[in-house]
Amino acid sequence: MSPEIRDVFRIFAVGFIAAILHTVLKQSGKEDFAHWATLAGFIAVFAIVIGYVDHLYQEITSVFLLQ
Amino acid sequence: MLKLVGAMLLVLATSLLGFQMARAHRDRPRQLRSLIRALTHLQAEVEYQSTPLPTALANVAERASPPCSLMFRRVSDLLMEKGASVQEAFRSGIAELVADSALKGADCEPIQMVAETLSTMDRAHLQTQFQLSIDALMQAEQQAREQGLKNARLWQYMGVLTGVILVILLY
Amino acid sequence: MHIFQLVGIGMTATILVSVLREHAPQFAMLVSILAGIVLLTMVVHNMDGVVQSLAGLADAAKLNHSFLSTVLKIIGIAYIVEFAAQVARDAGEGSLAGKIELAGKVGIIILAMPIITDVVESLVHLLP
Repeated sequence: MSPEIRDVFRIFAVGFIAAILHTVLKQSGKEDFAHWATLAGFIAVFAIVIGYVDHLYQEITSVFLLQ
Repeated sequence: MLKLVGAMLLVLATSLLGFQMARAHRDRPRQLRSLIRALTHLQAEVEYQSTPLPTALANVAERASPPCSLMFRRVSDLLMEKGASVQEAFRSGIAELVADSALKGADCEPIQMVAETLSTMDRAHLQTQFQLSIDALMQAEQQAREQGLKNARLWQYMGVLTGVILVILLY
Repeated sequence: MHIFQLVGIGMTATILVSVLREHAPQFAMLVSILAGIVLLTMVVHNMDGVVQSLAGLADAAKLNHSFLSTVLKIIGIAYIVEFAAQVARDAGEGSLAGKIELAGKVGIIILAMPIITDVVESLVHLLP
């Protein structure tokens, strides 16, 4: 399994669990904690995506000779 | 293979942590009910049978279930052996109860008030104080029952889900 | 990477995004962004060879190197800008997508300006 597909599945799983956690926390009355948890998951996923964006940037600048 | 074992251990650890937190919420109503029964028994012993306080407390401790029984036994011992005042004995007993059980400090307030009335030994006042304390405890028990199950389930979910999310991020 | 792997990634991401969209739309957007980035990276990586052979052809034809590099830069800008604009449109930000495309167009014009001036000057020289 290539690392890219693994990261796609990882983001999907984190997002799904974040949605479940959000619902569970909201039903127990702790709505603000639910929002923090979703935000934390979002930031974690964002960190993964940013790595890929950086890689893409390097690739494009090197191929298309953009200094 | 090793990774799989590690992942399962991590999920198990967080789930158990979650269950521990859930247990406190689940046990609180039960312990409050035990406290109410013990207090009613104490009222019966003191008012209708007029047994002296240390013996009454020992009898209550016999019939009650832990952790309340431990508290009453400790208070009884403190009164009989150390000769401490009723208020101090109850205070230390309650402190231990709060530390060892799922009960909170606010739950044990009614007992402290009974202890204070016991030391003044005003008969009529004692009766009303017992009734007030039992009513307060019953109200707390009802609230704990409603909130407790919800909170317990919340903590169980949180434990398992946190473990799964950590495994997914670190796998 | 072979074409099947790329197509596989694309289709898997599509399914995952469609499942995730109703429960957690922000994460669905991130999944689609990641899949798009992965595909684009692979495409650009494969284009490296094409660009190298184009550069070789240009050298063989004694073409001014700056022309080819300008064209390549314009193509690069076009790819990046279109990707970003599509992502913005997927997330529902149509106006933002328009702004991104505007930025790309202006960048391309700025890059192409020297060539345009050169062409116009040559034409002016040719006219009597």
